[in-house]
Amino acid sequence: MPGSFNDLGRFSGPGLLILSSLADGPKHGYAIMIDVQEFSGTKMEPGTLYGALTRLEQRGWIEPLPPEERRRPYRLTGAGEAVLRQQLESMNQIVQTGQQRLAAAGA
Amino acid sequence: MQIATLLRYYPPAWRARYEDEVTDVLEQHRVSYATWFDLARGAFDAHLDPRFSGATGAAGRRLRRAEIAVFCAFIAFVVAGIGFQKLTEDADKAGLMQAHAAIGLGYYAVIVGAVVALLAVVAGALPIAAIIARQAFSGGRRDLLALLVVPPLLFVAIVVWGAIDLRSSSTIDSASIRGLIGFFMLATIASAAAVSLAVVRTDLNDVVLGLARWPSIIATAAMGLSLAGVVVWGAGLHSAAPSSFALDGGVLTSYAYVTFLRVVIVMALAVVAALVALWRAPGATPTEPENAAR
Repeated sequence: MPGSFNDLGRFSGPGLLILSSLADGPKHGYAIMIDVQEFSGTKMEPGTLYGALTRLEQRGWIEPLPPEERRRPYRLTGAGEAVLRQQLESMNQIVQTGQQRLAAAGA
Repeated sequence: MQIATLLRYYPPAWRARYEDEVTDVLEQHRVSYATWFDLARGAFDAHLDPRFSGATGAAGRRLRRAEIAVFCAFIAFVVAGIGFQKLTEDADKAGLMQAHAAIGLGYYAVIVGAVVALLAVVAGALPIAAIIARQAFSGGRRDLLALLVVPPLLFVAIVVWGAIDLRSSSTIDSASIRGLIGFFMLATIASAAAVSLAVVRTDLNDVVLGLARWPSIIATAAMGLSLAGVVVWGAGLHSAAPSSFALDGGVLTSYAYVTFLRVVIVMALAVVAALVALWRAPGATPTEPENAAR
């Protein structure tokens, strides 16, 4: 069930952060939480992290790797990478539009 | 209590898949009040997620049918209750309630039973309604959306019908009232059918269905109490003022005893239907971890 990114509801924000975190390679749950906090300043709690992970996994945007003891790493899939690019492009357009309008208002 | 004990409140299928990982994360995480709240919210979310319920077993299907039957019985009970309310309207019967203990006792038993049944149905229906709404709106289930709009649409239609009747004439004639009551009955049946169909077509797990089990039992018992109250009220009234049953105090100016008999029959059928449905659904067992979504 690929679904759309907006269908993630309250997990769309955490979902985007997780996809971004996995963009440079597989990570397990705690490593994702630390990485997300480092690059975005967002402190993600475990309930939200795993709520988002289950939904991303269900949509085929990430996939679990064999567990290392109790830790199970996840990696981005091809579909996940495409969704991440699409979302970042959309956000980039919003950022550019906002900056242009601010610049025009300030000029 | 250790934070990890909160994981016990997640569905078995979720725990089979994620409990070890999350326990590992929690051991490294600095736990705060936000963590407790977040995990509790996550457990609630997981219970609402049909992927972690797996396929509902035969017991779950029987329980779902029983809960739908209790809901429909309650709707029939409410309609019959409107007829009973009509019987108690005139002042003479109000006076008899004060003077004769059996009539007053029966009347208050009806009221108590009706209130308890209503509260139980609301309590049992709320989690199920939340899931139906969630799947209808977030999940883009147009079939569920179409079913959910049936009751409010019909309610609006009844209000508009009544308003047009009142505007066209200061006094509503008997034919108009019969038409309105007939439409009300059809609308009630259609609304109950639409809601029941929405429940049938929604992915509900055994845990959620199990939450409505006790409210269904309580609602059925309360309907039984109301039915007993109606019978005691009628017997008391028949003993104290038998002539009042021969008056045209019933629905649509029918004889009171006709309305009374109809009320008792509908209520009795509703209670029996609810009891039979609950009897045939002894309980739902939680889904085993092997049904987990992988």
